[in-house]
Amino acid sequence: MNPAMRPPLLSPSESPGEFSHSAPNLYPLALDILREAITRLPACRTLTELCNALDRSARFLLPSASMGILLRQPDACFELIHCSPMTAWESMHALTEHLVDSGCFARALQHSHGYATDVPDQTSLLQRLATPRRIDGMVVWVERRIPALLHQPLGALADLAALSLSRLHSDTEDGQPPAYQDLAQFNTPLLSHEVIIPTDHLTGLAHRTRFIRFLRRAVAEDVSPLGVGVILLDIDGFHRVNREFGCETGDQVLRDVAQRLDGALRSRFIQDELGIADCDLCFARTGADEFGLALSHMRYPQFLPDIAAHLHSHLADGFRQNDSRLHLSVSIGVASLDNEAGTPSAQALLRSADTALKRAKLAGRNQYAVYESAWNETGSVHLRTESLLQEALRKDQFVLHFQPLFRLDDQTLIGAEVLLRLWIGDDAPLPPATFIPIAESSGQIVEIGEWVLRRVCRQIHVWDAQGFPPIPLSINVSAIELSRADLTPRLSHILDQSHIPVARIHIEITETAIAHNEDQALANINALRAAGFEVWIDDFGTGYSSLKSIKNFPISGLKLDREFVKDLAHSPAAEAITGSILSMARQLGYPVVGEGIEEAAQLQFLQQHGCHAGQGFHLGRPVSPETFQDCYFR
Amino acid sequence: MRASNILERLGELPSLPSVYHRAREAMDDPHGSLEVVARIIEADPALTVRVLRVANSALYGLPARVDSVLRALTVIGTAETRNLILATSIISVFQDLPLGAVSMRSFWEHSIACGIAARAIARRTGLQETEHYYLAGLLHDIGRLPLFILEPHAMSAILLAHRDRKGHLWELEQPLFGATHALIGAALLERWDIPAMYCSAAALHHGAPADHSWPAEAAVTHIADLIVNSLRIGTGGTRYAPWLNETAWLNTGLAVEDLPAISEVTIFATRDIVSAFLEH
Repeated sequence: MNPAMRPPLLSPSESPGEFSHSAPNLYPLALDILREAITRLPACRTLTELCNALDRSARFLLPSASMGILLRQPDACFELIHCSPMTAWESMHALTEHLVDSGCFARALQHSHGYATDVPDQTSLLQRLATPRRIDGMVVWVERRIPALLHQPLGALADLAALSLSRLHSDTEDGQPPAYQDLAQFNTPLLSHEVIIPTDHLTGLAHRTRFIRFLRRAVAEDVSPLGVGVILLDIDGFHRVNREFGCETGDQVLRDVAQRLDGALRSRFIQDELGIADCDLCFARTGADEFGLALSHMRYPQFLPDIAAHLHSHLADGFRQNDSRLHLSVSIGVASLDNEAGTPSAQALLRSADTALKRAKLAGRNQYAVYESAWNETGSVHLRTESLLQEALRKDQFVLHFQPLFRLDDQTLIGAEVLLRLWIGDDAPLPPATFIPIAESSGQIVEIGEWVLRRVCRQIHVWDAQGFPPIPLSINVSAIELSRADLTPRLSHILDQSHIPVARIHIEITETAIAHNEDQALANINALRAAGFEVWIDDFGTGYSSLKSIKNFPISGLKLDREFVKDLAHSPAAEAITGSILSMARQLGYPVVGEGIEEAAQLQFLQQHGCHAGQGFHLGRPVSPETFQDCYFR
Repeated sequence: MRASNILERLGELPSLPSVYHRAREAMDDPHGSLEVVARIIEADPALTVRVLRVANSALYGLPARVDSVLRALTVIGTAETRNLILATSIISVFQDLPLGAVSMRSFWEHSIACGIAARAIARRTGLQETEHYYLAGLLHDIGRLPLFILEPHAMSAILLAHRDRKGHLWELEQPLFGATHALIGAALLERWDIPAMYCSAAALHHGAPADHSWPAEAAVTHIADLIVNSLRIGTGGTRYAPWLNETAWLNTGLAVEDLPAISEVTIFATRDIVSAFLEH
């Protein structure tokens, strides 16, 4: 039963003189209130909640009193940090100054409570907020009269609040419960450090440190092996909000997300579903655009994924920004101890949630993924690869290979495709399929792409200096780069710096990359063409688009996917499809390069059906620049 | 920071859908019939789906599933049809508008729960026409929506202030907007020509002026709001339960022993009704 619903036993109209009249009812009520406070106060997670809980409990005993809470500050002064009602703030402030001046405050500090009646028609009751180890503050109640028999219950309330306050305090320091090292201290509490409850100033949520401390304690205390879980939420591409709308809007959006989710998480439905109480939950801002939810004592951890979906539904209507709607894509990673292999630890659980979060992003973002221990290996490979890529860039472990491109009718060398390899240790180099997806998900692809272009420019200079034919080199541009507005200026800038004419570089993009963000892709293709680049569609025929839609893009030509070429001369169906693609491309005026030519018969078919150029093992494998010049330039 | 007077800007909000006005005219027409009303609703597929879902939800507790609008209206009766159409129309007006620090879902969860609690109180204390109390509860915080929509930044700021114990949310609204959500809600409902009792319930649910007595619907809504805030079902932005006004409590005639049953009904029914109203 919630005591807030109970009508106050002492009505404000009742005059204090008649108090003894209701005394028989007071003790049962006071006990009820204390019982309630014993459960409520320790559950408070912030100073704010604690002040309100204390205020609320005391109000049943003194319905129309004003209450002020003062906390000891680092400079040893006591500062008013809470006043109820708010309107009494000024007078409460003046009163506490007066109490300090009159010496009443000091007496109360010494004797744990004090009493002042020197203002006519006004009684002040002071109760020290202190534990045996330290004094944290003071509570002041002001009423016309405060009957003596209320002193004890109010004092007990203040003691309970002080205990909770010191628990919050120890949370923020070393996490150790206070120990009674010296019995002498028992009677002379230390006036020690200030109280800092770490919160994030922007959102008002808890900080990452508090979040991790909560999680550690939850894992350490967990009696059932299943009851602890973590949900991490990350706003996808949040830097774009900051860039496009400015940091002020970005901050506002973060605040809104924080408040909205915090409000949703307070809902009884969520807590009932997981079988938790208020104090079993810590919602924190764990990164610049990342939020974390730690849960303990869950009776029904199996519903954790439903909570992730529920949080998504609270974000689905979007956010109001300058009269327009801003939709945020939020990826969520879920992990709980019951899916954890090995010894439970907060760090491991957090890592699992992070792995799940990355997987949610890889799977297309704006969704949630639940960690499974079976992923353990791939997950760690992923994380390892990500830092490996950083290292590879630093240590120059990437190498470029070149695959020759020939005109089919006379087998003249007309260009080469640049392929990226990662060389780690003594093994064979890793092919791009193993690391490009990770580089794309982590955003490192942009940096890698720039590295590739600079290296290609350098290679062109090396070959030109030796007088080799000035063939164009084709580089691949990823979906991530293609969806960025600064693609063309970045590429042009590198070419300018290297003094390489734009005609020497061809750009290859896949249909999938175009579909990723079609509007931006079209803008980029137009800009690339305007800057003088040739733009080719790579792996044509396997993606989303058809020739019909491709004709809207101002491209230079198509590279027919190896899937079609592979079955030529074996499958009539493949031949029919390839034949029709080639004839349609001819009608639209697009040159076509056949990819993955591995047999003479495939070469012959393509030649006969008007495919003008080709590449593949049959014609020449990707090789190092040295091998390339030895084999194809001489 | 002082925001412009919200009361003068209510015209910037969307108006009630025309299907509501057509249905209301049909019901006011002495020659009208539920058949006509049903046909009007069926012309709007989204409204039809919602009316059927709500009719089949725990809100009415019908003994058997109804799958036609006419059947639904006949079973719940003319008076209740009026309320149902009004509620579904208002919820759909705001359905697709993004808010800021509170999601539309949390908002309606709180409002619907308050409606259920108000109806439960009315039934418990033997008031007549208990369905009116449901609607009064449902609409009590409607004034928050114009605030969230027209003044998102100011609203977000006072929500943080409220959270930082600087006062009750409605107390913080007054100086900033020149009116509280209670008054704004009443003005919006008047604008929409909604019956006066709902306007006064919205206007007075945080307290009647000293010389003013509590109308029953305002007193019931006040208690219901307090119960739902204490139960923490959804949120209209408020984080701490408001104080109980004793006059309102006495006015309802409730006894403390009535509260557990009312809480139970509210928790049980709300979730089901929320999904009936809100899911697409």
